[in-house]
Amino acid sequence: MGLGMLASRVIRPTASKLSRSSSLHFIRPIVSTPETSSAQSQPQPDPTPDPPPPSPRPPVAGARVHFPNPEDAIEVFVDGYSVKVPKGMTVLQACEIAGVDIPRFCYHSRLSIAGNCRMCLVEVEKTPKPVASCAMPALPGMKIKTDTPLAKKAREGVMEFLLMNHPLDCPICDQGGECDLQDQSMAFGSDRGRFTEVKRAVVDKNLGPLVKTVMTRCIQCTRCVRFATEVAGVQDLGMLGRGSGEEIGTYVEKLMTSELSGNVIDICPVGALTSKPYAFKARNWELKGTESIDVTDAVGSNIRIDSRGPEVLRILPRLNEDINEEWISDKTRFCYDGLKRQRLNDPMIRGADGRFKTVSWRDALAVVAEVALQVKPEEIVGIAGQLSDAESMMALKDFLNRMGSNNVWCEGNGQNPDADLRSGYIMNSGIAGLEKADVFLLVGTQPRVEAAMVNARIRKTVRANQAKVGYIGPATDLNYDHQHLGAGPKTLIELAEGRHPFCSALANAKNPAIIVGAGLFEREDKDAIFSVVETIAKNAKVVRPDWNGFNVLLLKAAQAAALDLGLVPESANSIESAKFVYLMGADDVNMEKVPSDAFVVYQGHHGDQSVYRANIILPAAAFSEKEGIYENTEGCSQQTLPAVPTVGDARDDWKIIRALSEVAGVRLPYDSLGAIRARIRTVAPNLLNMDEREPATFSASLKPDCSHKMSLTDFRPAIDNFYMTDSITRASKIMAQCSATLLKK
Amino acid sequence: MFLHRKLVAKVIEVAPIRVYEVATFYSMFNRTKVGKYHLLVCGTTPCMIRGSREIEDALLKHLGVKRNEVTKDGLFSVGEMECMGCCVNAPMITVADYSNGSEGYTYNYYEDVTPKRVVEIVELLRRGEKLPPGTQNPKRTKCGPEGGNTTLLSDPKPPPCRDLDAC
Repeated sequence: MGLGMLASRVIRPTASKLSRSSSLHFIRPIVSTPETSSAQSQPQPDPTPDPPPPSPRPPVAGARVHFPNPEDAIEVFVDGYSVKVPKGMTVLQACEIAGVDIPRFCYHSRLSIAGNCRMCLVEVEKTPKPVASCAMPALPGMKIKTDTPLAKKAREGVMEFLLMNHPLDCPICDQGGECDLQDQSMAFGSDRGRFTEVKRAVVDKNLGPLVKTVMTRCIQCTRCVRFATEVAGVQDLGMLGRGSGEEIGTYVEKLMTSELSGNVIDICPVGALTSKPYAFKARNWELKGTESIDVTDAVGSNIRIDSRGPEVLRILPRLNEDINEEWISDKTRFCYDGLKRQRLNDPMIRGADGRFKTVSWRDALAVVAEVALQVKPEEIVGIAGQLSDAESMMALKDFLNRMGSNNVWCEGNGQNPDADLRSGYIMNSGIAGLEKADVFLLVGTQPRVEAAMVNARIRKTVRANQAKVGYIGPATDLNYDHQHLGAGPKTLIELAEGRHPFCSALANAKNPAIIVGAGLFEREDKDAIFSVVETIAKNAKVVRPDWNGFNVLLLKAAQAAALDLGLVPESANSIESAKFVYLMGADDVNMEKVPSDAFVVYQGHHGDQSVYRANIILPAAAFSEKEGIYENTEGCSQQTLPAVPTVGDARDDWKIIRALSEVAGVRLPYDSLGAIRARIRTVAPNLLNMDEREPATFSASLKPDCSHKMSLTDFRPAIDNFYMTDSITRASKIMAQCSATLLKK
Repeated sequence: MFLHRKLVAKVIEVAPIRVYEVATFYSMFNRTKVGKYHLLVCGTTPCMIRGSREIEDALLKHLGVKRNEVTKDGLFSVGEMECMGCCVNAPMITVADYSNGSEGYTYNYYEDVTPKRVVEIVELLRRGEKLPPGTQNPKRTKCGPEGGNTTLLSDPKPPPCRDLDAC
């Protein structure tokens, strides 16, 4: 520690004491105590002491240094302060760790380095010219200066060139207020330019129904090209032409056919690529951001819901290194317009004429309770929908149990779910843990449509480690190199018996990962399939004390929590003899199985498929309107927060069931969210460890042997249409446009 | 003659957009059909000052086409290119000769051209006659000055330090 640092530590407390006393007394008394006089008489710390002190500033945006090998650390000096960075880091990253934010346009930490915007120029001692810090590796003892007149002048020059052809249309630009170019021109831009020619204009491109392009605003940073090629895995975008004719384009008028295309809106530093559905809707400073969780798939991507008044205006990703990094899928980002359409506002009863009539909550609950009390307990069936939160599923199970029935399950988990061993239905290696794997075996799952963010992880691993991917299922387009091993259980048996060529790849792998799709839960022979997969896992040593690569990729947001809470039906075909069916947002139930004389209650937020069969409708809140716990496919529980008020007379799911239980005379003992969470704590305490992944304790080896016979029918795709999987996305106009234009067969 | 981007992409196993990026960057890749003799007029500053626009106009007028169009007989097309380093003999044109297939392909420079001379060159090419590439000004040899050298007429005297015998 240098002298200057020591001195400043001595000064600070004294100085603060001094200011406090002076404010108390108004006139500072003239004293000559050693304490005050020493503070006054201390010489100012030398600006460049020897050796330089570590940087006093915190790293930019929480940048962390991780030293894989402590000997690889090198010391560089940023603005006179010493900072230790691992070998191979760039000058820009070193500056970030030292707490100096370098302006940049083309550099993005998750993409390859292009070094073409030149905005990150810094001065390095003993170099003749300013250095592009994003592309320059930091070298030992490098003396980097970021705030010298030379660096400022260089950046001002770059900014003048960038603004030369950039239109002055910030007032009508959707990026206004969150534009990198706008922000940085505040620091480095001039109020007038020397360019007197006509600005260039570029023809706008059609990238599909999600991304709006205003290509005249483009500054050719190529972030979108690199994102499409590297992360999304679609080689659609490119940089065409040269010089002032350079522009971003596609090969022969093509749409961008990626399920991650919305992320180019976030990474575009200017307003060239903006959101088409959000165009001209709002300014970013008018919006209220609510940190929430996505429920359209089982990944649980972290999102920010931006709303104004009662309306959700857009959804943006939140950084979570363990789950979605900083990307989200298009379904997550653009499903929000479904929250405004086909909503159920009021309780409704189907009259004798087959039409729904609005009634009061009191009447609706009385009718439901009356019917529920008339039928036999074993004729009561409850099904939780794929968007249900843990609290409402707990309330539904408790209510049905009190009514004497145990026929309660969550859709997507199949008729005969196995909730005994948690390792049998969660992703045991974790989503981030997939990056350690070197061989993947995908069994009956198409991660690209089932969980786009997990697919992005697999692609990242394949790119970084040349991991091998074997896939069993119907032929599909995964956007990375993979071997299509077969279409169904036949290949699985070959793998288990060691007769398949891919067995050697699995056996030689250091960290093999098997991913089983939750679409198999619906199969009759699921136990047999799982036992075969477990044999493969055993042969390839997939589950070891230091590595658990046995993963189940769930499809729906409610699935993991439902199994944790024990939503397992007593008998597999109880629905065929049901007289009273309680659907809590369940829309993917085969309603033809329900007897025609059964009384169907639909509690939910959208008038979707099940409403056609419902006798009574109870309106509930959607995920954007309530606080609820969701557990994602890797076993990490997170919660949504209400961003907008509920629509009409709708209520939270668990509150409706709680009210119904009282009318039915079986009052549930909780009146608040805290109380129902206390009840969850007694059933599945892991659900309350927010934002923490709870690994499964016991592995599948404890499972009893399976005696079922496996059928040889091939696996089927679990999801037909990526853009429409639940009641919200089915109600969304944007998702309908995407299905129509992007899913050309 | 011109680049078939999808085929190239297939052969070198990359996405078509990657080929398209390169093809649009370099003006030497023809992205449209060209004539058997593709005439490229240099339009960079020295040639432009020495009258390359008149040269192009003369060619276009004589052939009756627009820039990057092919004549009806498929023989000629006119394009523009950037500096080929012949500024000392400006203005210049290049003839990319595809008439003998890819084996007999030539890419000759014709320098010191005038609007009259380029028309003659076109007619010579049409008749299939050979003509020497290089400067078209009979008074010049290669890039030497018109009418012979005016300076450096004798061997220059070496600097004294290089006269090793004198040391």
